[in-house]
Formats: sequence, C-alpha cells, structure tokens
Amino acid sequence: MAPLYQSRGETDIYLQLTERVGVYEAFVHHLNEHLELTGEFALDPTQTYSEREIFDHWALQQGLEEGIGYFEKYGVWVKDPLPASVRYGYATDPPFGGVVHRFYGEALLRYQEEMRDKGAPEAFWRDYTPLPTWRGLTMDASPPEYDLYLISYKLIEHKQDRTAFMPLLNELSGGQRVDLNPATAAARGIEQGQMVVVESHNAVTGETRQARAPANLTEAVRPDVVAMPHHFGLTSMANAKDLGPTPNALFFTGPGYVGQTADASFQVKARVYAA
Amino acid sequence: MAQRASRLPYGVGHVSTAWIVSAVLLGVVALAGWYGWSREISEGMIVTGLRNIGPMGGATWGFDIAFVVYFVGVSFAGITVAALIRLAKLTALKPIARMAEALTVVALILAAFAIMYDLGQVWRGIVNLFRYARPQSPFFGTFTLVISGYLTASLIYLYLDGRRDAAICARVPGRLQRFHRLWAAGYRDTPAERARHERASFWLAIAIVPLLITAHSTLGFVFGLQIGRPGWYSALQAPAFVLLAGVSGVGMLIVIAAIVRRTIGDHEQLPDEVFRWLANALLLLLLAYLYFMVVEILTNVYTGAERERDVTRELLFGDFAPIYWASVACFVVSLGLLVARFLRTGPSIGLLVTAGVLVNLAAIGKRFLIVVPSQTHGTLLPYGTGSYAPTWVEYIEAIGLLGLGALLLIAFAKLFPIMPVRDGDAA
Amino acid sequence: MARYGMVIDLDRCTGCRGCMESCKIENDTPQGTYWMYVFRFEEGEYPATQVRFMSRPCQHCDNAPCVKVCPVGARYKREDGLVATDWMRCIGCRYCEVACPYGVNSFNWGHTEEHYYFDWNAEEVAPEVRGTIPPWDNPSLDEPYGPEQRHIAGGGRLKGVVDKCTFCVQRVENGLDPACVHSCPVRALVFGDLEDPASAPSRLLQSKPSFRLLEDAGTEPRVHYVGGNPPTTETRQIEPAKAEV
Repeated sequence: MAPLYQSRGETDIYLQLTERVGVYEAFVHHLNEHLELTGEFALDPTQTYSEREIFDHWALQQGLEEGIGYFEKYGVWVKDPLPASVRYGYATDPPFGGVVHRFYGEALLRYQEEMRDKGAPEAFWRDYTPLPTWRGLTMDASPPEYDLYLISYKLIEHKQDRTAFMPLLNELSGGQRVDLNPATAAARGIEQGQMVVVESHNAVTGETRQARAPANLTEAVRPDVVAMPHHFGLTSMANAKDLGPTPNALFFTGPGYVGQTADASFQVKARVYAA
Repeated sequence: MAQRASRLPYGVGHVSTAWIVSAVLLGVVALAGWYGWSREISEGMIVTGLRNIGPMGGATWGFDIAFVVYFVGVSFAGITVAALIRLAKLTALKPIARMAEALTVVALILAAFAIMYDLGQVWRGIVNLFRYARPQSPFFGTFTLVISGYLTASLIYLYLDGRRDAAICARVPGRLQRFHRLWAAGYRDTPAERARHERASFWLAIAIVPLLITAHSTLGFVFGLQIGRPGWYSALQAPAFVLLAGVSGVGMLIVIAAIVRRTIGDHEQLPDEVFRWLANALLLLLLAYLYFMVVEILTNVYTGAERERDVTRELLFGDFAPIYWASVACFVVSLGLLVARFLRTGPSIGLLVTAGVLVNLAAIGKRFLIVVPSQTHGTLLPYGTGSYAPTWVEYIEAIGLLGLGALLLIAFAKLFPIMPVRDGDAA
Repeated sequence: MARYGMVIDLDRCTGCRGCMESCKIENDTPQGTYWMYVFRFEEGEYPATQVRFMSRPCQHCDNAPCVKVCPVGARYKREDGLVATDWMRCIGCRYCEVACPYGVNSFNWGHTEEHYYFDWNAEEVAPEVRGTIPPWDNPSLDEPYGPEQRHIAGGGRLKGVVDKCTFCVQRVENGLDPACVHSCPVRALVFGDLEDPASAPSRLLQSKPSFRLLEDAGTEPRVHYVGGNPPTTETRQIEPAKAEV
C-alpha cells in the first residue's frame, strides 16, 4: 500500500538521501548489482526512479512480461519446486556433505578434558560440563564480611539505561539507590537517604568493586539481600550522568561467575557500609 | 478659655535628634521589608520557603500567615481597651485610650500588608476581593469584617475621639495647625458638643465590641473549620484566637505605655494604677488562654485520631518542640512576672514590660505553630513528613513590618497628642 | 445531565505512574506539579510485607472543602460534577490548598515557563525549534470551557495561581476520556457518568465492593475505588515522585 499522510517508503528516502549526499550513482550501481539488472533493464544513474519503477525493472529482468504488475495482480510468482538436496541435509550423498556433528555436550566434555590435561587452573574448566552438574557456589568462598546477596532489578519507569536521560521518567522514581531491609541497615548504622558504598567481592580473583549511592530502606527486600536498579550510569548524557552509578560493574564475568558457555551466571556477595 | 498656647503637648511637632535617628533606622527597616516583597512580586513566591502540601512535602502557609494572624491579634487590644474605657467608664485608663486606638490602626495596616505579601496575584487579589467576595468563605470575614470593617470603625473612633484634642492643638500656631484644624472639624468645647461627642463615642464603642469578637472568631474559623488539617479542626480555635489576641494586644499596650511614660515623663497621666490595671487584664487573659492551651494538649495527648496525635507529637517532642517549649516558657515566665508583681511594692513596670514583650514573642511562636505543623506533619493521606523553613525574604518582610509599625506609631506621636490633652497642657 | 465520576480498580493498578505523566503532557503542568499522583505503598514488616499502589486524582468532591473556602469563587463546582478552578480569577491565596484533605492542589510558585524540564528559549535550542510553540504550551488550554465559559483548563498558566486536576475538561467536553484514563495500560481507571447505571464506571462499581478515600471527612468524593483497601495509619509511602521547584 502507499505510504499514509506524510510518511514515505524506505527506498524513497534512501534514494533522496544518496542524492543529497552525492552517492546516488554508486547507489544505483549497487542496486543494479544486487538486483542483477543488466542490459535494457539496468538502472541509469543519470535518471531518477521511484521505488515501484525499480522493482518493475527487476520483475522485467526476471522475465515477467507484466513487470511488477504481475505481483500486484497475482501476489505470488510460483516457480518450479526446489530439489530436496538444496534444502535438506540428508538428501545429499554423503549426508550433510560429509560433515560430522557432535553432541554439544560431548564437545564440552572434550574441551574440559583437554584443558585439564594441559594443566589449566580448575576455575577455567570446571563449568564445562556436558550435563548440569552441581558444585559449591563461587560466592560462598568470599570472606564472611561479604554477607549480603547482591541483585539488580528493573524499574517500571525505565528500559536499561536508554531512558535514563528523560526527565519525565526520572522524576517518577529518582536516581540510583541501594535498597536495604531496615533491620539490615540499622545493624550497620545506616539511615534512610544516607550515602553508602556497596562493595562486591570476586571469590576467584579477590578483586573488589564499589558503587556509591543513597540507601533506601524498604521492608520489601530480604534482610540478607542488597538490591539496586540497573538503569543508571549513562554518563554520556547531561540529564542522566548525575543519577548515580550502574550496579552492572559490581557483577563479575570471569571464571567462576559466568559459565564459559555463556549460558549460566552466578551470584556475587557484597557488603554495604556508610560512605 | 485657655491661654493662647505656643507649644503643642507631648512633644507633638518637635522632633529630637533621637527621634530622627529612630525614624530613619525604622524607615530603612521598613524599606528592607518592601525590598523583600519586591523580590517576591518579580520572581514569584518561589523566593519564600513555602511549597505545596502533598507530594512536594511543604507548607503553603507559613511565616507570613503567622504574622497576619499575629497582627490582627495585636489589633484586638487597642480598640477593646478604648471601647471598654468608654463603656465601663474607666476614667483612670483614659490616658492610654489613644495609644490603644493607634495601636489597633497600625496593627491592622500591618496585617493588610502581610496579607498582600501572601497573595500569589496581589493586584488581582485586591480587585477580585471587592468584585467577587464570597461570604461563605471564612476569609471573607477576615478581609471584610477585620480589615475593612474593623479598620474603618477604628479609624472613625480614633477620629471622633481625637476631635477635642485636635481643637485644643489647633490653637497653637505651627506647621501642624492646619492638620489639627482639619481633624477638629469645627469642634467647639461646649457642654452640648461634649455630650454629643460622648454619646457618639459610646455607641460606636458598643458597635465595635461585637464586631471585634466576630472578626477574631472568623480568623479562628479560617483554621478551625478545616476538616482536612489535623490540628486545625477544632471548635476551640475561635475562642482561643480571641484570647491570644487579647494577650498579645494588652502585652503590646503595656510596652507602648511604658515607652510613652519614659519618653514623655508624665507620671501624672500614666500613673502606676494604669499599669496595674493593664497587668491584671493581661494576667486574666493569659490565664484564660493557658487554660485553653492545657485543655487542647491534654485532649490530644490522652487520645485522638492518629494524625492529630502525630501533629501533637511533633509539637511536644519533635521538629517543632524547640519553638513550642520556648513559647510555653515565655508564657510561664510572663505569668510568673505578672504574679510576682503582687509580692512587691511598687508597680514593677520593668517586670510588666518584660512580660509584655515575652507574651508577644510567645504569641508569634504560637501563631507559627498553629499554621505550619498541620501542613508538614498533618496530611491525612500518607505522603510522609514534610518540612518548611522561612527564607530571608520572609524574615525581612516580617521585620520590615515590625519596623513599619514602630515608625507609624512614633510618627503618629509627633503629629497628634499620644495622650488626651488636659486643659492647660498646651503651654 | 451527565454527572461525571471515576472508578479506580486497585486490583489492576501496577503503579506504573503512566497516568501521572500522561496527565502532565495533556495538561502542561510544570515540574514538581502532579495533578494525578500515584502512591506506592508499603505495609508490614518483612516477611509479611505488602506493596500496593493507589492512584489519586482530584476527588471532585460533591461537598468540596476547597469550593467552600475560596474567597473569590475561583474554585467552583460544575453541574456535571467537575470541580474547576478559574485561573483568570484566582488570587493565589492558597486557601483551597490548605483546606483540601487529599493534598491535590498545586500552586505555581515561580515563572512557570522556567520550570518545564527544558528551556525552549535557550540560545542553543532556539535555531532548532525556530519559534514553534513549546510542547507544554497547548493553546487549546487557554480557551474558556463549560456553560459558564470560564478559563479552567490547563496547568502552569500563570505564576501565582493554584491549579489541580480538571478531569481533563478540555477532553471531556469533546466527548473524550481524561488523559490518565485513556493512557492506563491496564484500564484501571474508568471514567463516565455515575448517574447512569449502564455506564462503565457504574457497572464496575456494582461488580465489587468499593470505598472512597477519607469518607469520614464528609467531602463526598466522586472518585471511587474497587478491588482494594484504603490506606491505613500503618501505610507508608515509598518511592515518592520527585517534586521540587
């Protein structure tokens, strides 16, 4: 259907853009190449075409006498059926052209055994398991002063940090905060609104990372959990850069914290103290 | 017929250096207040510490409204004393009648300014109040009965009451002679004229007293009828307003009378008896007011709706406790001073003046405590607690008004005798 | 004649606060002013914590304390149930604001054009916007409305006057729902003629037990709530919206 009101089709816009920018000729050449337009049906870079005309050339190039009108009338152009060997691996001989597939899990096991045999540290290969295999949690190896489980969560107002610069959304819930259970906060001498530091600990490497934000006391958080929304840290935009840090940096992605197959991630433990 | 006088009584028409210095200083203070107001007019009320009730967590009526109520309260005493002197024939108190009337007029002028300071659209306010005033609104009582009616009645009373003294002063040649003649408006000191004068003042006094009670009660109603504000909604507001008005007004009158006695040095016109009477009046009013305060607090502490209890808690133990207890202390100390007077010989004018000043400070504090906590800590929906602190604009406006009031009073004292002129006074 | 009211289904409300922002966009209210407000409540102690939400427009009370106290009659009750504020008559005394038990009023403290999130007239911006009308300056809000033909639409019109939720009078008089009702993603807000038993809000009201806020205050609000409970003295507000000028 034709574009409505003042909207325009993509191709129409591209054509005008390329003209403005000065690459119309190259664009036409590109179109000819990809649509395989040759001879009388090739597009002429000195002429302007509408979108319909370009597709008309293509249809004529394909041998349809009516040009694009064929599709406007019939909708679909039915051609000869494709041979199975083009689409179906088992139809070829040998099947799949001779490629041998391994079970995904089998591959993981092989990699694990190879890394172990080559002497790599256990933290690097212990999660390459073919089947789900329980092991002790990485975070439990953190020292006991890291006593809170750190989670991040989504606020209804924002999407990731891409909406963080919008003042009409920011006014709905303010900037970054550290959600703590009031009992947990009292035990640490922290009051509502007080600036605190959340420090996470990497039990494999010993690295610690900090983020600083005001504390928000809420009974809706478990006493052993500290939670932060993940929508802030957009430092490139003036409206958003003073809203506080992102908690993303507090989570680790190295060995022990992310499965090497990128399909598992493991918790971190953190502690909170007054800034 | 008295001798032709060459000097006006009580320093009228003569300015000493001390007076000029005072006048200039007070003038500067008054101008500073108006400068603050000019900021408010040009930038809007955002220059104050006031903010919206609700999500914004502020108080929308604050320092300024507290002073509106305070000034209207102070205006009470003036005309009441003057009217009572008329009606109860308390001739010994006649000397303070005029300064009482002047106090009323000045206090109402200050109240009018304070109201204007608090309007978001000042000029529109003045026009629309005349065009569209609604009697159903308690504010109607404030603007019409108090500012217009009360002020007009007080001005008329002051005028009528002063005609005789104006006639006496008009005999003295000088720059003020024309003004005094205008005021006297052909008053002749004949017995018939005097009788007519007494009658007119008497009836005016009778008319003013109910107007006065209504006006102050209406001001109490402004707060007392609001079901949406815990701490305000109470049948006690109207009578309590009348009583605290009396307390602050009489207290201020004591201070003014003491100043007049000190500067003019006339112990004959202002004998100790006058001060004793004022002290007794203040004591009675203060006791009555404290009774209301105790009843209110006991009721709210014993039990009450949660929101009322919240507000009371803030007053007694919370954010407002310093102001609350300071005001209570001022009242109690004043009470002590007024009672101590009975234990001493002599009038103890110093004690009385201290008591007068303290009760006024306490009245300002109390007015503030009536206005603000019910907004910051008294929302019926759970918005949480708010806060309010006046800014320099609000402070300077209040101080400016106090300065203006003092300036108007000392200016009045130089234009017209501050006390009734006795025959032979103008010498 | 229709007598409008609103029914709010608290079983549906997710506290997304979309209604707050759509109201703001429709009625051009400045920063810090929320005509529609949504509470996010928390009650109880962990683990028995409850979080719930309640949107609170102006209640357009039938016995409105704000109408009673307005000294100049700028705040008045219309026959169709709306409580309106004539910003051409308002003198900014804020008596309606202290009288309202629900805290729905907003006073315009400063020059409102300086409080709209973005300075349309700033130097860097002017060449881009080239003298167009700012998005918060909808000219249809300057028109008079209603049989009384008074200026009652829109927020932030003037420094020094009070305004509040108008039930989007500029939309209602053109047969539309208020902006908050229209934009609620879960249809928690239902608006219509409460006198008509077949209207959507009436039917909703008949289907579940309902309550009104602060019934004891005797204000007779025209906003009803179904599917939840009124806030108690134990209810705390969490995540207050940022409201500063």
